[in-house]
Amino acid sequence: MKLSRGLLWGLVVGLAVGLVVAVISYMGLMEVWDAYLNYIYQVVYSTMVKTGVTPAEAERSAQLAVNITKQWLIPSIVIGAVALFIIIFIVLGVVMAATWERLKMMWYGKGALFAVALLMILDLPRLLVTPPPDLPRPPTPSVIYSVLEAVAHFVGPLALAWLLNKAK
Amino acid sequence: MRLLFLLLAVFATAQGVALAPQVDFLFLGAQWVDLPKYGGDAGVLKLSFYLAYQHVDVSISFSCRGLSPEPVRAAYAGPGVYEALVKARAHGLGTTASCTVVFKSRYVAKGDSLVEGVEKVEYFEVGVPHYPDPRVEALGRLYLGLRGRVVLRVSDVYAYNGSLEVSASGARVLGASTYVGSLHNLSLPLEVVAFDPSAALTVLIKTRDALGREVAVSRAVPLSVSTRPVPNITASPRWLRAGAYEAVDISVKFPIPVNGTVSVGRWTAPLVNGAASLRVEAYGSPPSVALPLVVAYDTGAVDRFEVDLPVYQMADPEVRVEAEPALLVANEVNKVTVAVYAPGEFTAQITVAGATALGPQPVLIRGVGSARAVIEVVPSGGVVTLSVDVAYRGGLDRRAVNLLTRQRAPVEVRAEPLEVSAGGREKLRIYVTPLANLSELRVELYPVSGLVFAQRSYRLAEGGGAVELEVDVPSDVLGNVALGYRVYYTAPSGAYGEYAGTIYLLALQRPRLQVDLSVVPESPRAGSPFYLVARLYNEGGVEARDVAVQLAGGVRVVRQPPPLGSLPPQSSRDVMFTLMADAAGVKNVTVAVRYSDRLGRTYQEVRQIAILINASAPAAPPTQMGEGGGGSRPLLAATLTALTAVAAALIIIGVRRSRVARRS
Repeated sequence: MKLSRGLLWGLVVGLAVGLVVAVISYMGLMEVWDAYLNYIYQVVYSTMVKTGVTPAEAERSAQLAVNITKQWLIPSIVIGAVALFIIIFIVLGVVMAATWERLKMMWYGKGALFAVALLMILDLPRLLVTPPPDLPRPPTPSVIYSVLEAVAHFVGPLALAWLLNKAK
Repeated sequence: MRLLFLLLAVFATAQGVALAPQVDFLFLGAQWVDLPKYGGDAGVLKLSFYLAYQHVDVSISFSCRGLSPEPVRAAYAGPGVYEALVKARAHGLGTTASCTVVFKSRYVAKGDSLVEGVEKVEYFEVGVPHYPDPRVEALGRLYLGLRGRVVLRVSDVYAYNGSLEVSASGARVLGASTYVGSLHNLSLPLEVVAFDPSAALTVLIKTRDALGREVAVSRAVPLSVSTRPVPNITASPRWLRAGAYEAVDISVKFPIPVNGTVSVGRWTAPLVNGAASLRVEAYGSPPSVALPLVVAYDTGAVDRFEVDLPVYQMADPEVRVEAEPALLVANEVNKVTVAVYAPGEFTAQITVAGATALGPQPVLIRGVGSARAVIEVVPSGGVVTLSVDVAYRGGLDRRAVNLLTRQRAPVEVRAEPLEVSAGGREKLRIYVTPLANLSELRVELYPVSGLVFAQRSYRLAEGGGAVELEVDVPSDVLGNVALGYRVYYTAPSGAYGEYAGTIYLLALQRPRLQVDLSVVPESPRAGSPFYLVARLYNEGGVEARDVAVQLAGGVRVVRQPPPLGSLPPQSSRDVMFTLMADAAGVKNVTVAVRYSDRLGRTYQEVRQIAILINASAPAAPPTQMGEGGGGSRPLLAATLTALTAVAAALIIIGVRRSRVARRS
């Protein structure tokens, strides 16, 4: 199989999965939006106080950080998710196209193989990594959003394999 | 008888003639007629022959060793003794020459006929004697115009006697100038005075030569004449004091022994063996003095020199002036004793400057060796100068003596109290106490530094008194403040006087810091940093220095404030501590502020504040934070497990179906 085909369909599937993940992240962030802004404020204020600045300056710095978060966090999440998944799926498509003939299995078997690999890369660290104890823990949305993201991560490689198989 | 004797005589004569042998030619010898005077000179030698007959056309030639004769020819010779003069050149003197002479004649006249001539060869020796040729020289050096000794040396190659006479041109020979005796090797000492650099001796020697003839030889002997040496003239002292007579020792020393007289003006000293010394008296006339020194030698020659002595304006150390006491009291009558010391008889004139001298002025004193005078002076300035002109045998000398004048305090001024507090009005009492019997006493007070008041003047009684003065002390003054006073008085002597001074007081003032504490935020939490702000306000009048804030209590200081330094009066400054409490509860925090003033005195202000520390911030509410953290992990793990299982199933199915498809 030509590598260009894997690149093309990787781009398409990456765009689709990125948009889906962006929507899921947005919905989860909206669920804890106020708590998240308060978390940002506390972290910045505490850090500035420890450096010895005056209370007014610490408060001003924390408020500035909240304003920046309000303005740039959501666009950053959408753009970042789409860009990240386009890159991931382009790489995935190229690798899949390169190994397509060698993997002696049906297209869904190949898609499932790459889906497992993607889950191990993107979702398994959430279970293994714990945040530092001295820092206040950021607010997290409902776990359903994490589950939905994992499903999206799983479905993406299957869709890519189906498209590659169909276009063969 | 007589006839008999005559006959005997004739007989005897006849016998002599008849019995004599017949001799025709006889060489009689040779002798000098004129001597050769030096080697190579020609002399005349006389050869004598006896000829019995007359010889015609005669030639005489001979040859000698040591002589070179010239041949002689003659037309005829004889009969009888024939003498031929031969000119012969001697090769050297003092030798003996062996000669062979040949006498040759062409004819011989015998009677009336001519017969053949003869040729005779004879041998003889002849001595060539010395001729007086003395060498004369004069040994020794003469100085122009001075008596000197030379040795006249006369020598010749052979010994002979003679007389010697010495004369001089351009010089004079002292003592004996003649000599008679052997001139073979003569050394004749002579005492000569040369008057001309080209002086010479003329030596006339008279003697006889080998033939006995008198010979006179004259020799001119030049003399070695030098100019007279310059003496070493030294004077002591090497300089003179201006305007004074002084004895000067002059020493003259020649490098050669000469005699004569040395004179400077009317002072004279003999010059013996080249040395002379004399003491003269000279007057120092600036800029220099030239002493004419005349050296008259015993030969009549005279030399003139000058001894230059510089003249300096220097005081004579033998003249001294002393005055007592060295410290005078101003505006009072002081008795000053002036002592003048000078060598010999003197007169001194004393003039006073810087003070009023009582009595006739100037003061004249006379004495021998020393003299004293007592002068009453009233000093008017800081320095009194006594000028003393001393006229003594050494001239006129001027001296000056400076005496210092002390201002004695006429009054005593003091104030009470000596300490005043800053920032208020104080009443001072100024006491004025006269130390002498003063009259018309008036005191004037004026501010100098720190104190605020208007200048005032008070008139006091003769015995003095106290005046009251209200002064304002500014609140920002710390340390010494001063007020000045000026006292006008009339002295007992009637002189109007003024005495001024300054009284220093101590103004007390201290910085005072007011401390206000506040906590930001008002309810700090345990584990979270918070601020403790101490606001320092200096309500004192002077600055607080070295302000240091220390904090103690159950809190941990995260960050210390920077050093404060000084705090000016009427100003404030915030000191902020960043603190952190580890546990909740009420914390009593003590804040101590230490500071010092300009004089180094230390003060401390202590404040306490109770801070309520809340517990740590609660976790995010479940409604907001969801089941994040530990609760969300199982569901996510289950989801991942399920998806992995589905993927595994799909892989297995995919592999199997792929095998089946490949088989079919």
